[in-house]
Amino acid sequence: MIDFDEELKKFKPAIEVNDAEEVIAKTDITDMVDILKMMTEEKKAAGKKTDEKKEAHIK
Amino acid sequence: MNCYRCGYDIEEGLYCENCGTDNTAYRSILLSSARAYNEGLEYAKIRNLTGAVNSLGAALRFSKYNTAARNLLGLVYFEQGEMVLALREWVVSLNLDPEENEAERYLGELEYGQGLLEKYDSNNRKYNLALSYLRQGNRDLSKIQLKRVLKNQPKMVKAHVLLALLLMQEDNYEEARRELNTALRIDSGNPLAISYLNEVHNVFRERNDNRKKKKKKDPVVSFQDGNDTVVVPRRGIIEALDSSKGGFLNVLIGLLIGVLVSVFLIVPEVRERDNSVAKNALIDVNESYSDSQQSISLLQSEVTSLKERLTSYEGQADLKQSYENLISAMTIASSGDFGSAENLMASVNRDLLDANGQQGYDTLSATIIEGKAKEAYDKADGERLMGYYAEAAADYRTVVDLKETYADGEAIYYLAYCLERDGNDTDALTYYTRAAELFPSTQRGRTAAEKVLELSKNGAGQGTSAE
Repeated sequence: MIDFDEELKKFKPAIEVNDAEEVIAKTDITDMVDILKMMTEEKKAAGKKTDEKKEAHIK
Repeated sequence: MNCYRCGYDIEEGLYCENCGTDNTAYRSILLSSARAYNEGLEYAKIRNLTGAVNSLGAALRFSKYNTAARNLLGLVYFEQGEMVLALREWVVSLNLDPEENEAERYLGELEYGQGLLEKYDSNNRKYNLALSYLRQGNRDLSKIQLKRVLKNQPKMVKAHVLLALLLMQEDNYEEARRELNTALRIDSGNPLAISYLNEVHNVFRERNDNRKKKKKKDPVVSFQDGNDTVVVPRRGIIEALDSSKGGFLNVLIGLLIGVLVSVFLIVPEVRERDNSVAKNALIDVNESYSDSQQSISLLQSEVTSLKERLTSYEGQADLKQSYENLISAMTIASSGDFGSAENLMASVNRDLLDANGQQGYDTLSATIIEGKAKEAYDKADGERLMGYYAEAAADYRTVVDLKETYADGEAIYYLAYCLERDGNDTDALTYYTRAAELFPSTQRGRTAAEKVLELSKNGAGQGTSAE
């Protein structure tokens, strides 16, 4: 049995054109490639730190 | 394929010769994005728009540069009636891939194609009004508003589904089924429409089952009368009424039915019709009226009045010429050509005109300013949404020079905004400050005030002023 009031909550107001700018500005377009790049940079930075520590230890 | 780290062209293989990066994972991501796009395309072809949105969204989460996926997603949103989401996808697509992108054509058609954007925006506002009526419990007003929305935009899926829900609440399952079927013809995968249609089918099935059940009754009725058991044959109501004793009873029943019909059917129907007329009028009052239509009507009556005066006038050539030019300018302005009207006005000598003529002159001047401001404002809005901030700033400046307070401060606010986006913080600060001064209690005014603080902290305003 459908509960009218509960179903009504599922309907959200339509976005008006005046709010389009805000919607576009707030869009998050991060994708998996960005995450891959971040992970690669982090790995590289971590590798560099390890090398520096090793060199300092040898000295 | 280009290396994702350095952009070097990897013709074959997976390792970049330039920076040594392993592109195996990147290649898998691109393949997944392509696969999701293909899936989305298949869904779109069979009109499962909800499925298409999900798959294309996944394709873009894998790779945001999948322009085909993004453009198709915009088209799917457009088909569902979600204009702003379609606009978002195409604007982002154009920003990420500006060369030879179909999104430019879609945006052009939406923004400049016979006022499409305004039409859809107006419909969205009506839909929101219908939703708020429904939440307040005004089902009748909501139904009228939803039907208007669907008349203007028959493919708005959520309006069909909301109307169906309303009809189901009113126990009108037959009409609800029609709305849901229409919604599913547009978007065959809409989950709400599918769920409501199942409910409608369940209700019809139950009603069918109930109709089929017939109670078998005994042909006789027996009861106790003291020590005796009395058995009499069962008679239906019709048989009882057909007997001679039932004649008077028939008359009474007929009278009673007549009274009940008038009380419960006729009187409410008349009241309902009156209410419906009042509700339609209420909705019409709630919608906004175009100022320019009123101005044009005012101008036309001024033209008629001045023509009458001119035919009876015998006087100086300059005065006559001024009136003739004024009338011509009014006629041209009523057709929407404000530039030519302004040129003609330059040759009108206001001081020679009488009080009525001067009033006509002043009214026309104000209308020309409004008309030119509106043209420049609409153009600037389109440029701003497409990201051409320098051009938009120039057009907004034209508006503000004509009328500083145009559109309740929207013009001056957006001038400052476009200047800021174009990198001209100094001039942006000047206009933000002015916007905050003129409209301190509006949302734009408050945002402008915040921007003034932000830009002042960043050191803007140290250069030359815009004034």
